[in-house]
Amino acid sequence: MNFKHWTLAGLGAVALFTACSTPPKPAPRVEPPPPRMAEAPAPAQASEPPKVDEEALRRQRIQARISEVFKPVYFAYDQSTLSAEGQSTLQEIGKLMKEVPEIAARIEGHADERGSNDFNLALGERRSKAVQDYLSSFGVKGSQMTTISYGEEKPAVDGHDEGAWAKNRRVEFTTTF
Amino acid sequence: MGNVSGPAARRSGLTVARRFGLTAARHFGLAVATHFSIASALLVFGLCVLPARAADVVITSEQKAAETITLGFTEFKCTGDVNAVPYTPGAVITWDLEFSGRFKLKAAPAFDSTVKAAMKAEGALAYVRGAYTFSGDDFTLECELIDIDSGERILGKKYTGKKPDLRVAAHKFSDELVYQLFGEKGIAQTRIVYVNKHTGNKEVTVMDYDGANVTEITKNKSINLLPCWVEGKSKILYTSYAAGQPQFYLKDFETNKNGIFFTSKGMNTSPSYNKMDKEIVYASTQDGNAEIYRRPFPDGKAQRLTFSGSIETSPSWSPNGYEIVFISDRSGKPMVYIMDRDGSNLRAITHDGDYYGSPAWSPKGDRIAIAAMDEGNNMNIMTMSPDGKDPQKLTTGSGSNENPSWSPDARHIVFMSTRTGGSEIFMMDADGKNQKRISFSGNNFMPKWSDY
Repeated sequence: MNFKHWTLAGLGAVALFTACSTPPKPAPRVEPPPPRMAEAPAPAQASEPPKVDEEALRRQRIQARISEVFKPVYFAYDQSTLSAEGQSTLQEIGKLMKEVPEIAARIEGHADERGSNDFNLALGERRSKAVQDYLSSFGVKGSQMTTISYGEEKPAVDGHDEGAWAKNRRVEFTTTF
Repeated sequence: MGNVSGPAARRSGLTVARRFGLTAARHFGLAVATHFSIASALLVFGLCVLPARAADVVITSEQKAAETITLGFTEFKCTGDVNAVPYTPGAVITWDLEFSGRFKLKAAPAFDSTVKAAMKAEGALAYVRGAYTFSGDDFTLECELIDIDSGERILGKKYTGKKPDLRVAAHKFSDELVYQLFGEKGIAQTRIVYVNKHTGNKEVTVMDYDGANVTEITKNKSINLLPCWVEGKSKILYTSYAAGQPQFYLKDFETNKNGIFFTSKGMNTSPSYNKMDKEIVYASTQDGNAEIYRRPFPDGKAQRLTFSGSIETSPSWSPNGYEIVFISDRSGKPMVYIMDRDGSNLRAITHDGDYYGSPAWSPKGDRIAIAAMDEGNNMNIMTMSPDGKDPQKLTTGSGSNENPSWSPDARHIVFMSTRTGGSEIFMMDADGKNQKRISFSGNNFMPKWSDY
């Protein structure tokens, strides 16, 4: 228990430090310290400088890169081929996943509302597989990836025009690290 | 069924024509009769509920009206608390008979000589009357078909049960009338399964075919899709994301169990049940991309039927279980294909158009209903013969219309339409006439009509 509190206290300090020293970039999302932090015994802290936990720092850096890199990939109507923009997004994702093999990504394929629900489920699946294949050929391990399709059932944007449709024809990622 | 060569049948050419279809009637050299007898019809079907002692009740009908019978309909008398249920059985039966498209009703509060003349002027020679009452939690419902001229009872039925089942009893009488007068099963006791999103989650829901008795089947706050009736009205097979990866779930109304049916790699969707061979056909990505599989129900080994790098989905059985209609985009666009039950003899039945979806083979076998995309990106329901010929557009200029599903007697189609803004369940005759909204809550999708 004590050790845990120590680490959390340290993390909090590091987070503060990081936030202050890197003004231009948006601060990476840091879990707010749990409320019981305040009750943590503080005497040791007063006498020693906070230890910098290298591992925690590394994890934090990677988390920040994950939220920066894992952006949705968009598709043309009824298509599952990757655009140049989509490919460059996937290259960034691929680089990070190769560098950090602990990252696992669920590749979620979606379609816009046009056409039939059945077909769109298959189309979403095809889009997620296209992304998986691309990352695979980029060198990402199969064990780091799973696919799922939501078809037209989970739109990112409600609406019945091309503006909404374009945002809904996508692959999104849910990552664990 | 009764002996159709008896004297009653000979007197009643039209009855024979109904039983065998007009083509058969012509084949037998039977002129389409302009007279037929309800009493004879009862004899012919061997289902006389009461002694058919009435002398022939001759109903005069015009040749054009051979498919409909005009009946008088008097208000059902309630001798108990009329507010015990929020409907009247007479209204339920009226809805059934009018929806069936088989009857023309001439309504009247009660029967007297003035009403008699008016009913006869409309072409009715018999009328329906009924009475019901409540005793504690129980109801009694009596329904009769009465000869207008003689006042004799042609058909009489008495139903008793618990209050919530009064509606079912009323539907039973509707089906009784259809069966006795047309020799075919009625659809008044059928149900519709669909997906409702009023909670924000897509949940499988069931209602009676007239929109009553809405019942949620899933409440898992996940995504539940593409439900399908299995084994009559006793089970529902659907795809659920409740456990993460989309898999088949089965709701069994007999055991009241609701859970994972079977799992496989990938995603299983779009089931269709074949009652002839007790099998399902469905789309699965278990081997990579979406392909069609066939599997005995409830247990057995799945057999893959399509082998292609393209999308194959939305399979629907032909009623005899010999063939399967489905969607494939192997040509580059989603088109309609038919194959034999083992995957052989594959052929496209659509060649024009950009996009077809969710085909449904009519229970009579002669038509396939399908959604086709128009220039405005809307889907519209059409039917075509199984060779792709004789396309008929049933909806047009009224939002997007998708997921057609046939009534078990093949006389009607239920579908989803966005014409009122939200997504609602609509019904229409098999030729597109009498389009009627059945749901009113918004956010209703993917209807499937049950078997009888």
